[in-house]
Amino acid sequence: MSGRAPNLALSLAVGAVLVFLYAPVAVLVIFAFNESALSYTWTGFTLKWFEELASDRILLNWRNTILVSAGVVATATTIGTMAAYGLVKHRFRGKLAVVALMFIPIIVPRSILGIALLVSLNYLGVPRSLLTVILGQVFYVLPYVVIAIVSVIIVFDRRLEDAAMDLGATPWVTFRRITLPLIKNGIVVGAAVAFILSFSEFTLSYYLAGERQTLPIYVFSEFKYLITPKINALSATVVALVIVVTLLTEAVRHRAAALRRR
Amino acid sequence: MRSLTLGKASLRERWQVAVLLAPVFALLVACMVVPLSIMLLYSFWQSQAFSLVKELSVGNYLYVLGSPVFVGLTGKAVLYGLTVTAITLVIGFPVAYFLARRVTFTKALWIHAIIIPLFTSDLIRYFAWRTILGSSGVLNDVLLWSGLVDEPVRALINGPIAVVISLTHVYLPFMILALWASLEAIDPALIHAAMDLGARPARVFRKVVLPLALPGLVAGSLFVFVPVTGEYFGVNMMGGTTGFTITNAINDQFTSAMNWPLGSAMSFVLLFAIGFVVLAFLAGVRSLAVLRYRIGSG
Repeated sequence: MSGRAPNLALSLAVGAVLVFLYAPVAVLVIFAFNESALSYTWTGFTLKWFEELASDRILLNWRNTILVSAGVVATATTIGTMAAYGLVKHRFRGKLAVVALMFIPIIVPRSILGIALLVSLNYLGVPRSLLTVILGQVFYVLPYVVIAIVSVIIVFDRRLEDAAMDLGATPWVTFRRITLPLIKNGIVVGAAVAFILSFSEFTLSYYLAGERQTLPIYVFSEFKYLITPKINALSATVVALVIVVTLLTEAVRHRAAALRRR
Repeated sequence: MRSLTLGKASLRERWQVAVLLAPVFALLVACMVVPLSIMLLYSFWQSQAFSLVKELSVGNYLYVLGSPVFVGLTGKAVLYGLTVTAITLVIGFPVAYFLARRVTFTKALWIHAIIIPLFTSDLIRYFAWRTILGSSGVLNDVLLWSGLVDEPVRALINGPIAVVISLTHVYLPFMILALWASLEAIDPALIHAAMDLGARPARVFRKVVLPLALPGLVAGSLFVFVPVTGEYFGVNMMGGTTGFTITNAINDQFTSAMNWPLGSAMSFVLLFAIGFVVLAFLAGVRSLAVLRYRIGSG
C-alpha cells in the first residue's frame, strides 16, 4: 500500500469524512451568534440568543437534567467501577460470556428499551419520575462506562494489594490506601463518560420521564418544527461543555499514563 | 504461588467476583429481562375500546403480519439499517485504516476527533442537519449560489435522503472505532511479508487486511445496524411523511392511539426482524470465512 497516489486518495477520503463529521455541528454553533432570527443568512454577530436562553423557563429543565446526570454518574460509576475491577483483577471461567452480556444494552434499540420499561413500570404500578429516568440511563451508559474504566485500569498490578495484605493491612484499608488510588483515574474517566452520555440522552428520558421534563425533551417538543437561533445557542453551550469535559478527562488520562511510566 | 491458583479460583475469590458483578446483572434483569417479558405478555393481550382485555391470543401478531403497511414499515426500518451500515462501512474503512496504519504520535488526538461528535447529543446533530438540508438551509444556499440549481431542492429534507444522511452522521463514529480496533491489532509484519512475496496492494488488502479486520467489521456492523433499524427520533425528525418507519407506528400506539398490546406486538416483530438479519449476517460472515479457509488451504 505504498506509493503517492493511494496515500493522497486516503488523505482526501479522511479529510472528507472529518468535514462530514464536523460541518453540521460547526454550522449550528456559528449560527448561534447570528443576528437574524429568520433565515440562515449571516447578518451580524450577537450574543442575544445566549441572553435569552439564560432567562428562559428552560432553566427548570436544566435543573432536572443536572439532577438526572448526577444520579446517573454516581450510580453508573459505582457499579461500573465494581464490574471493571472484577473483570480486570480476577480471572474466572466465562469471563467472555459476562463481557458479552454486559454489551447487550449497546445492541438493543433504545426506543424499544424505553417502551419496554414504560410498559413494565405501568404494569408494576411504579410511577414515572426522574428516578426511573436515572434507572434506564444507568443501564444504557453502563457498558460505555465499564469500557472506559477498564481501558485505564487494565495495567492494574494486583501484587501491590497482595503486598499490603501480607504486611497486615485489612481488606478495607488495602482498598482505601492501595486499590482506590490506583484506579482513581479510571473512575474519573468512567464518570465523565457517564455524564456526557446521560446529559444528552433523550430517547429513554422521553419515555421514562413522565411530567418531569429533562432538557433534551424540552428541546425536542419546543423546536421540532420551528428552529430558532435559541436552539443554536443551546447547542453551542452543550457542545462547549462536552468538549471541555472531554479535554479534562484526557488530561486525567494523560497524567495517569505519565505516572505509570515513572 | 499465584500461578498455582490460577486455574481454580479460590472460593474467596469467586465470592469477590460474584459480589463485584452482581449489580450489573441485577440491572440487566431489572432493565432488560423483566421489561421485555412484561412487554411480551402485553403483546398477547388485546385492547378493545381503549381498555385492556387480559386474554392471551396471537391476534395482534396476525394483525401486524397481515398488514402490508406494517410489514412494509418494518421492512423500511431494516432497509435503513442495511443502507446506513453499508455506507458507514465504506466511508469508515479508509478513516479506520488511516488511524491504525498512518498515524503514530498524534493517535490520541485523532481518536478524540472521532469520539467528540459521538458525545454531541444525537438531538443536536439532527437539528444541525435540519438547518443544513432545509429548503432555506446552508446546502441549498450553496447550491443556488453556485448556480447548480435554480430553485431550492426540497427533496433534501423530510424524506429518506435526510434520514440516511443524518443517521450515517450519527452512527459513523461507532463503525470507525470498531474497525480501527481490529485494524490496529494487525501485525504490520504480515502485510510486509505479503508485499515481499510479490502480492499487489489490492491483493494484500483482500487476502490479508480484510480477513483480519473481520471481527471489527462484524462488531461495527452490529453497533450501527441495530440502533439505526430501531431509531425513532432521527427518523421522526428527518423523515417527514415519506421517511417514517415502524418505530413511528410503535410510538403512536403508546401515545395517541393508546393501544399498548398492539404496540408491544409491533416492537417484537421489529426485534425479531432485527434478530433475523443479524443472525443471517453472522452466518454469512462465518460461511464466508470457512469458505476462504478451505480454498486457501486446499
